[in-house]
Amino acid sequence: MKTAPYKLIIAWMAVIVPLSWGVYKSTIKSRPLFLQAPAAANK
Amino acid sequence: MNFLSRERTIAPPGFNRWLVPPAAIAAHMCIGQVYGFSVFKKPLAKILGVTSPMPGDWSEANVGVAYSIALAMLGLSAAFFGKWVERSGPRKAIIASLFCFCGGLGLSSLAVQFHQIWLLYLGYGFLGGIGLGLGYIAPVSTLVKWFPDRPGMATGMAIMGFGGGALIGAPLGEELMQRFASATSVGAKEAFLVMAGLYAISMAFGAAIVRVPAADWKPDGHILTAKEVSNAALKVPVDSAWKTPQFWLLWMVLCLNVTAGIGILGQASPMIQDMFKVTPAAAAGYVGLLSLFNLGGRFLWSSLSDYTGRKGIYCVYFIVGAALYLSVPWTQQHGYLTLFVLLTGLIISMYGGGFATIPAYLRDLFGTYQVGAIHGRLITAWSMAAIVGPQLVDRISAAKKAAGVPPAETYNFTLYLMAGLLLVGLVCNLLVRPVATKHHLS
Repeated sequence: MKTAPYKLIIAWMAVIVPLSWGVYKSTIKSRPLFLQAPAAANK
Repeated sequence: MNFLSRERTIAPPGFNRWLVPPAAIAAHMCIGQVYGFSVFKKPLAKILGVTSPMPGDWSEANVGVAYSIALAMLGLSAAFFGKWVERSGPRKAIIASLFCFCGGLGLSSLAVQFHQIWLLYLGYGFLGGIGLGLGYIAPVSTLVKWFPDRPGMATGMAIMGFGGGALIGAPLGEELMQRFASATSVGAKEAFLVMAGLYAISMAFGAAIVRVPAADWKPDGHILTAKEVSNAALKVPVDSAWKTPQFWLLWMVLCLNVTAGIGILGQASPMIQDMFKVTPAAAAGYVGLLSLFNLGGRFLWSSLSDYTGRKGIYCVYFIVGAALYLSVPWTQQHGYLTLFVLLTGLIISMYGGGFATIPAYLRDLFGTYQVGAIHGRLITAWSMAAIVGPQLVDRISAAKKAAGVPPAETYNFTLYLMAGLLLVGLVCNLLVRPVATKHHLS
């Protein structure tokens, strides 16, 4: 009996959604560094 | 035959193996929360004072001991229970991990309620640490068996989940504490409880969908190469494996790779502030960025190892890693902040890659027969490095500062030392040879 495609989609979404949230929060957190980087590099 | 038994997890014909990586990731992204424990340090150090620490409050150092106990228990439990995990199958192991890890979070909540630090050590450290060990090895060894054609990618996916656990656990902890904080509470008690509930759901989901392949299973449409056929026949039991020089060489490889990574991770925030005079907010952003490199490296480098071979990819980690470490002080001397971020990010990506590639390396050398149990014993190298590494780095930096070295240059010696450790790791890696047939199971 073949695995139904919807099971694969649900299973992957269950891990991709929280992981994406974590990546999003880390990206937001790293923003101050990008804002500061050009200024510091020009010193 | 109950729901948790290994026999009940054997996949039926037609089962799609791509359903197994989400099961492994679901478990790993929960226990990976341990990497985000630092967000609880300050709040737990002011449970009585709430707005600021007061006499009777725990110190941050004392709170940090719970993290060290957890990492020590991770290695010990993985080593002691590895054979049980192999015998019992991944579903039972993940459920056992759920009870230990989430139960540990529950006890941590009680520790905050009654302000008893021993409960935090018992819950988050001891019990939670056992959960980490059980939950770490079971999904990895299962995935290795499902992907004989891409073992590096398989272990990379699972262990990327562990890295992702920090990205989820840290902001989740912070947001929950903010939500539950009040004039009389830092919100940690409720945060621990909610996290225990959420993680229990995710781990139960992973346990429910995880499957092991049938003994005669082969990937659809894939013709096994001669190397894969010979690896499938390779069986080295854990009791023999850990007596081989290959095991101890890989133990050194992992220990040195982790120690070197901690050279950056353990002091990332103060290092960038001292070396480039960035603001604390930008330094926090730098730490967040390193986490992303760590996450990506786990999957990408480990997947690449399927093409380069495991020995080859570790040579890259060690040679390129050492060169990057030696270059970091140069970026500070010339004020190249962007280059500094890029180089250290690459170092951390290879640190993550080292974690993710090691189970595939073990599979190459010892076969899949008891690879989980062998991996469990090898993880003691990580525990050792995670406890000793930060101490080493802190003491060297403190000694340099005390000796009057300018703050921007206090890290140089540590960076050069880490490059040296990587070169020792390179030698260990180059000494690895196939395991002698006398250790193979006949």
